[in-house]
Amino acid sequence: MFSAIASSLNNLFTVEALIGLIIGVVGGMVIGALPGLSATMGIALLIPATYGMDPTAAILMLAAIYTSAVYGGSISAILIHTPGTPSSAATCLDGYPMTQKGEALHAIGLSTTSSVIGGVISAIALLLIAPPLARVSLKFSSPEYFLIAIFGLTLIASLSSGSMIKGLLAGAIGLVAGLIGFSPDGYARYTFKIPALLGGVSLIPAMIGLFSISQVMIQSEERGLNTTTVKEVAELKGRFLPPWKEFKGLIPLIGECSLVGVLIGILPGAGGDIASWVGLNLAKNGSKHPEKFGTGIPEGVAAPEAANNAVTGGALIPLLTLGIPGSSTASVLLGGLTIHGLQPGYQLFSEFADITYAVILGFLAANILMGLVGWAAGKYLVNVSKVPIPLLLPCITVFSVLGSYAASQNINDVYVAIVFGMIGYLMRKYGVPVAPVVLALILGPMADSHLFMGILQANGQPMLQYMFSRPICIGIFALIILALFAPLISKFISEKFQSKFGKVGEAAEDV
Amino acid sequence: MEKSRIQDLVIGIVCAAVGIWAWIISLQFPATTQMYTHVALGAFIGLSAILIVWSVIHAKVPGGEVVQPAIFKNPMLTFVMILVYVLLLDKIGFFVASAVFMLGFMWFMGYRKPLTMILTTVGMLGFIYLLFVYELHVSLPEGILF
Repeated sequence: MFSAIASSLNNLFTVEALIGLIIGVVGGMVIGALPGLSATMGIALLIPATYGMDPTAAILMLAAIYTSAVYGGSISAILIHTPGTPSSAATCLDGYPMTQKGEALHAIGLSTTSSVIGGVISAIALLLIAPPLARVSLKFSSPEYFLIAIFGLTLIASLSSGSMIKGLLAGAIGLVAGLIGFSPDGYARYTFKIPALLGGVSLIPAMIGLFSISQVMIQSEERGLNTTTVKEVAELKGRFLPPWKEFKGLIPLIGECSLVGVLIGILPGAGGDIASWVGLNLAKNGSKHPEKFGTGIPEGVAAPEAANNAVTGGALIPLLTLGIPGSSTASVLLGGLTIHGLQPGYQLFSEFADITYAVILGFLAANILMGLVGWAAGKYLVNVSKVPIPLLLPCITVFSVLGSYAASQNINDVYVAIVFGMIGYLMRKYGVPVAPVVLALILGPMADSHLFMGILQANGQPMLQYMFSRPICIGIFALIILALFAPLISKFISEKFQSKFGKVGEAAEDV
Repeated sequence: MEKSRIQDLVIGIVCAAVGIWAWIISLQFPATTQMYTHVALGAFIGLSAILIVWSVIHAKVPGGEVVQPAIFKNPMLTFVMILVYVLLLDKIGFFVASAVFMLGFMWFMGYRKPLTMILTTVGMLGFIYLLFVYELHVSLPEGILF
């Protein structure tokens, strides 16, 4: 591992990778600070900008966007009581009262410091846990990969933010859309003799349509109603970094919340939003003055911010090692890996170790850089929220069209994007989440091809019997059953803590 | 029946109809192709049926937001504008079509500051030119203009 790390440094210290890192950090913070834009949408929109890039720089940029967007969301949560991402909702509760007390800069400083520590701890966990876990995938063959795909598909229930039935139905829509094109045995399914359909539904245009074009359509509902996104921003004065005496007292809490965040990130289906509420609850339960929570105290900002940023590295562990995306953002990141020809699993830590370790080390650096940028520019960043929506929407649309086209320089992909934009818009209006469609579009074809290969491998034996003769398959079956109960547990935790702490301002919708 | 439940019922019926239609088509597929196809379609039709049954059982219980048809006006106009923009890409070229679309869409959204509109358009398209054409060598659609 150490020799791989050493050789990966050559990949990391290239001009392209460093530029990707900086763009990812700054871009992620801007996306996170803009209410209405989520990390998921930001990554979907920027994947096309990575086509011509070196895979290290590309994946590093996307991972940096992920962690920075989570942090960026806290800035608008603290200053204008509007969480930029769902992960920052818990931060509003004490962050905004601090702003009202004239301690806005202090709150941003606390949020920055805690986010950096949470992110760094999660990056170290990723570096230590992912390589040995990836070795497990060496023992996988087609039946195991088929079940891993099914396991991933069961996570759809967890990704469904509203009705579970509608979430599962959304996943089934993705599975059906994934049927279009050649089947593993070479038969053209549902192509209706249209050549453009032979290759199937292109993933990136579909993602751009579902996340970005549908968002433009949703925001156009407010045509003429508002031209700016936010109200006035409080004046920022005072000290950015927390005083050492205060910070010393917060270190154990930040450490505890970071570890909890990493664990929540590893668990499929529970993301930054859950982690921030759990972190806040930990802080309140361990506090000598729990009644002060909600009045603007440092613990109320530090705990959720450490926890939600720690989720990012944790979520990358099952993604890179087993190809299991536990959240909508992770499923879009999986799309990014696929586009660059990187398949999760042991191969990433052997054949592509130079790239993977460079990305992990770069992710660690991104979390540190995020702190430096936040320190230098955090208080100015909230001004991006003042960009009028009528100026923002055409830019998003043009970038969406360009992104869909740039993949294969084929105009048909742009039509795929706008068709999925309409589908995504209607789904979101009628309470059907769109993230499961993406997950199913990725995992459906994987299940399809590995089922086909598995049947050949079983050599006439019934498939189910063949799978039950393989110990790893039995283990994955157990995980599938566990995953089916995950949404119930996740819903219970979220509802319990939200009712305990009260509801906060609107966040970007977790689509 | 509650309006939100009627919405769910319609979603379930439309999805079930599409699923059954796809199933009928799949009967022409070879047996090996049919197997996974039927797994996916079975899930789709089954879940649509569950949504239908669920909406009927909970017919009197309000469930989720009721979408008023009037709200679709602006998004549908937006969709038409995007469609026209995409149709124009091959005809007049990416940069001209994008400039026309951006200025038109800003105006459509109620923005009325010409200088800001022009600067945003020029800035955005300049950035795209530098990143995609100059740096990444992406060949963007060219039309009769450039």
